[in-house]
Amino acid sequence: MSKGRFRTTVGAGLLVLLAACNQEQSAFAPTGAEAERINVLFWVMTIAGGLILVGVIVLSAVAICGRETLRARLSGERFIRGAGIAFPVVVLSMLLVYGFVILGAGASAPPSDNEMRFAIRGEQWWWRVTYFDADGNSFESANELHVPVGQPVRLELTTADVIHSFWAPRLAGKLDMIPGRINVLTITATEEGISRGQCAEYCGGAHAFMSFHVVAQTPEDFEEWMAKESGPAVKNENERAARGRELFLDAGCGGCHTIRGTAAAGAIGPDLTHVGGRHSLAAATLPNGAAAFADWISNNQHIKPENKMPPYNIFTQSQLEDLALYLESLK
Amino acid sequence: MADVKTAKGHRSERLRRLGSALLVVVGTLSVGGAIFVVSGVYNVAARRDHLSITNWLLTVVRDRSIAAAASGISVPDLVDDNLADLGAEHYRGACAACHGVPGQGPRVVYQNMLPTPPDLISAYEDYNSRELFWIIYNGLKFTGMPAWPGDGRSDEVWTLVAFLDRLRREGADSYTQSERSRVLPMKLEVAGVAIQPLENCVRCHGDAQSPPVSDRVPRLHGQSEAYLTRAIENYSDGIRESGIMEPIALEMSTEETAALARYYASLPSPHIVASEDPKAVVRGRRIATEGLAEGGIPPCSSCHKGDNPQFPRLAGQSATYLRGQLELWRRGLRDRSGYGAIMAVVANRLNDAQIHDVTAFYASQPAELGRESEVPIR
Repeated sequence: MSKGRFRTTVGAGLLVLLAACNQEQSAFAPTGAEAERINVLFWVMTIAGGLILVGVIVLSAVAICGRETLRARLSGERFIRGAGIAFPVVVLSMLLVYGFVILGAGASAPPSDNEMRFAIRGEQWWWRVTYFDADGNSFESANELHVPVGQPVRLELTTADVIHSFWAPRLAGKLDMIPGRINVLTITATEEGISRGQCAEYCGGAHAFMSFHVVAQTPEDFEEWMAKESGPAVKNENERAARGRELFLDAGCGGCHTIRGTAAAGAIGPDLTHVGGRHSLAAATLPNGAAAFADWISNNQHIKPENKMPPYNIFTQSQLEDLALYLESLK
Repeated sequence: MADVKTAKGHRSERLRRLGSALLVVVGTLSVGGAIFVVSGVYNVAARRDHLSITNWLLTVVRDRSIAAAASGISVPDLVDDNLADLGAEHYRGACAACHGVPGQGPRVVYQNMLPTPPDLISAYEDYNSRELFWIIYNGLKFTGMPAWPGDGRSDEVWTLVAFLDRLRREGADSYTQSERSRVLPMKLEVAGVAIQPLENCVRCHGDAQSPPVSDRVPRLHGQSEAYLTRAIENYSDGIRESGIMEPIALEMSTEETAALARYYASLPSPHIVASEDPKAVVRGRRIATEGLAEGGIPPCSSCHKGDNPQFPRLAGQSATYLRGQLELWRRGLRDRSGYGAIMAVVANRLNDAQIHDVTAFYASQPAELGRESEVPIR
């Protein structure tokens, strides 16, 4: 192998490895107050633990191969008392207290006045997100969490079936969703941007396909988004999408899905009022777009086996396209 | 010592002779058997009865086999005219060709079959209910008795057993008197539908003057053309299993299917008021109109609301029929079509009590609700 080719190979290999450094879902690239604390704690713990480990290895080496005088000092009672008892008690206690303090363990943050309250319910295998505005009005969305930057948001985590775990690594740590309980997680985004999260507790066959996006926006953008998202579906249809809407209503889709502003008011599946505006479909399983909608409608049991939606193979190809175009138009 | 040796020698000599003799016998039998098979000496003519020993052997093998195979079958309540009436009509359309009118024996042509199709007036003299079920469902080798054409449709087979049970209890008159007086809509004959398929429909599903023969039979009156046509197509394509409907659907031409679908779609619904448990109706109404979101059950009305002709109308159907179909879905027998696959998901989320309630609700509803405009007969 020539030198040049060797370099190319190593370079390509490094590129592949770097691909794993995509920060979309990395706890090492925090964009939330809670995740930042976790990140700091991680590095403090890792560095402190690493230093102690190095010290222990050096002392072990001395104890085995060191000079007689050094070994005698190591085995002396004073050293044992100091490094064997006092040092671990002091250091471990400090780290423990530091850990508690930084994570705010034992006391959930008191609800502040400007705190927002959203509810997220894990269902096999997607996330039902309910937004509450300042007046207590609520509306539903799914598989995507929008938060304003700089404002603490109180997430009430529940589950409809089994134990799930809500984890948005760039914003905060994991918190389980336990049947019969409401677990509260407070997050504060510190930076604008889209990140990804996923279910972190095995919850059945399609567990790996239960992800979501978190969209952190400036408070102004967030307000604008809330105003639009809480409203009914936007009628921005061409002729084909209009036919798709008829199909949607005729084929019984409204038995499970809601599209506000139409007769479809089902409560079983995700709210589709603004589904075309989300960053992904099927809980961050598919890219958003007409082709993915068509694929999902007819093929969902292959994409996400045993999900609750029946396979819909009753449409002709052009009907399927109309339906997909309609859903795509629901921005 | 010498004596023992001699005795041993004698024994092995005898064994060797016995072996040779056996070889000769087996060889002769094989060759003889081969000659017998290949020469064509054996007479397979139905004209000639079996030897009595052959008859005895066949009968014992058959009856032991049936008794052994049928021993684990559990028998539902058969004293039910809804079962027996449907069984009788299917008998009239399919079985009577060979077995003849009960009490009168098979017709002349079929008397010349070997074995002769038995007169089923006396079926219970030889077999019990579970054995009769087994025979009708599985058929019998070398007898001309076919297996049931609808895989898994044991529910249909029991209608025939119930019919045979009624023959035993009430005699042949119960069959001959149950023949319904039918008024064939003459316009349809003009429209090109031969009498046979029309008769096949009317026999069980009724017509302008009469309701279906049994609560296990759907009311086609006022059902949408699109749905009726698709049902017949599904039966003839083998997508829907039914030992009763598949053979009938297979014989219908596209034109006949269309004309008959049009005919039934145009019929006014017979005014049948089903008296169902009012509490069940209230619970069922909730499932039908609101669904049970926590159980993943959408409201039935999201599809079956009457404005999409592809979804059948459920109001006014008998609760027994609806329950039977939901049971088929739960048993995986109706999920092969696109529409069936959707319903299968919902049917499997319903428990027995919910099925009872929601079918009671639809049975209690007047069929006229949600009906489209009448389609005139051309």
